[in-house]
Amino acid sequence: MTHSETTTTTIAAAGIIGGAFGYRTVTAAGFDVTVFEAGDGVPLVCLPGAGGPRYSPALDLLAQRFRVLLIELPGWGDEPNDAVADFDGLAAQVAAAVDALGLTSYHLLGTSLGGACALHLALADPERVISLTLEAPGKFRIDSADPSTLGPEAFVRAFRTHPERGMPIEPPDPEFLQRVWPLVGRLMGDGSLDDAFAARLSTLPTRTLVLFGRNDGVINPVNGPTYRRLLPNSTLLYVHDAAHDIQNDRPEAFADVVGDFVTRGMNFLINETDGLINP
Amino acid sequence: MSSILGRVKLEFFQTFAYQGPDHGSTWPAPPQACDPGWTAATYAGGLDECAAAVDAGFDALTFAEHHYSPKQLTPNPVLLAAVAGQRFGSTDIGVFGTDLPINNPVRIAEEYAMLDNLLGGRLRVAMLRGTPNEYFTYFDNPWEARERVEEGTLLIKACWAEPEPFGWEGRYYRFRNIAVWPKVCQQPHGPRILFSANSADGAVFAGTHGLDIGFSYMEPERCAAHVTLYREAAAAAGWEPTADNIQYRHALWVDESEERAWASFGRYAEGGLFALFAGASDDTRMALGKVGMAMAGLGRGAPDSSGLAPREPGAPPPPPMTVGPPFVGTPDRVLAQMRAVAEVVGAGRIEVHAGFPVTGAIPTADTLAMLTLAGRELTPVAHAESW
Repeated sequence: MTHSETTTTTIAAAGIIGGAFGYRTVTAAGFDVTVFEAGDGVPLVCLPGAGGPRYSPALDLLAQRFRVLLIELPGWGDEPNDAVADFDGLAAQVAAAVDALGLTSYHLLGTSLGGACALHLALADPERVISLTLEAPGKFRIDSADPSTLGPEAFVRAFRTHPERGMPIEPPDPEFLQRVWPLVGRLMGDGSLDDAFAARLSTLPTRTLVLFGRNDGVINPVNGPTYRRLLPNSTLLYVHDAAHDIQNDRPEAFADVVGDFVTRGMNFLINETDGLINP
Repeated sequence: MSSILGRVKLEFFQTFAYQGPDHGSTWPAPPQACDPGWTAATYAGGLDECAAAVDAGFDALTFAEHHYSPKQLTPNPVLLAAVAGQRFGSTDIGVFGTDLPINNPVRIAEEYAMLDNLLGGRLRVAMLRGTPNEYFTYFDNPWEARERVEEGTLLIKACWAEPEPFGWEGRYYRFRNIAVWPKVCQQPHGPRILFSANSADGAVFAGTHGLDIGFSYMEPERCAAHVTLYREAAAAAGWEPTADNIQYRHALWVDESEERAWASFGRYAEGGLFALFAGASDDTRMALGKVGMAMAGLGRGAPDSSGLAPREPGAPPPPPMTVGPPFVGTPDRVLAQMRAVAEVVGAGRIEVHAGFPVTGAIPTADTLAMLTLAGRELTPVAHAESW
């Protein structure tokens, strides 16, 4: 995505993925932070993965129900981010961006690296995060892959079971990798679980949904149960027939589950679908 | 015989065909024809046959799910597997298998987890699509059978392996909360799962996901082609199947006399598989045919005068149903057949059922005698280290 506008702009293009999104920039933590926005209703703040903000059919569907705000993380835009050493630091910058958006409380969705950041943001400010959804979160990475090291075919397979769906997928641009990957490496660490962080997670009251595609080739889904075990108010859900990029592999399923969780919280465990065939 | 093969396991598939008077050849069979006294005799006699099979040296007793019919009184094979597993405490038990698309996969995972523990790890299972009539049982969509059996199998594997409660957002299955207790006895993966390789798709799926494969009645040469696909898919997934991963099922009737063997076998097998539905109306049989075509990959579309729908664009034509010869004859002849199947298919397990009781039940006494002969003449040879 490119961005330079300072006012909300709608790219009206029905049928184009992300076509309903406009964008604007807010100033936060010394950065011009770009925010892509669509929809009305309760705010759903979305933090993207290491590849930067990406539209998806799933976000389009969610924007039909919620006010979706996709935030470009500081350091992924034109300005380098040398100010942070870890996810706590990045989460503080994102919190400043959320403040600049005027959001007092919000639902939070983090994808991959953005999932790790979202986890830290919720830990820092649980009062304002109504619900937390972690899509293939990258905090713990036992038996996982560094996507920057994958060949083209393996890269596509790791991210997508259905590359024919949603947004086109291509290995990242080398210039992008050179610019952003040092920051990614600094934030992500070795992906192991330390006792101190486990203790922090055990205090998080926020209701949390953790999603993994069963075919995820980036963050191994075996890491999913760790979140379920450590987060006291969490639920773990696997998406069949999806890899790392669930939003593009199975957009309807993703939007359905996340939308239900955002709307009903843990009541999403209750099936309220009418089973009556005929009166 | 030359020493070509290693040990081949023989497994006895107990169908529990209703021992009562002639029950016709329609499906579904009217329940009013079922007499509880004969049902009790059927189960008792069937278990006696299982005992004879164990005494004869068969390596496993196996059961399968079938509905609404006197041909097999096993709508829930898990119950019979539990009974047999308790009665025959050292014999392996197989449920080959569950008609997964017409069942709740999580419930199946729970039942098999219980059974695995009750049997102390002697259990193997199969996840199958079943025969076309099974899609009339609970009003399930046969066009979804292939995808449901695949997704359901992966879900069951997850049920047995996941250490924490989890949900499943599938294409056909949605569960928001799964936590199977008890854990499977066979750690870490649970009972071995067998998948039908009668279709090429099934062979590839099994290889990709580390499953065993089984063939039912199919011509050995066609099986061999599917085994090649299975091995290729397994290699791509990083593992190498052995003969023990491959099973072949057919009917058995052995007798000292070739003529008597065929006479005994033919007495109840007239008409073969299709005789199972011979008494159904033309319309019903057309509908069954349509389900069969659906399971073979034909699209649903608008029914034409033949009751069949046009094929989906680009879909390969369904392969014709080809049936290999049953294991019928003298011990030497049957052993030669079995050896040929084991060689051609690469199967290390041969699963047999006594005769082919489609027009009536084979008397228990006849089956017991046949199994005694099998124990004397077949199993010792099949169990030899080199055959």
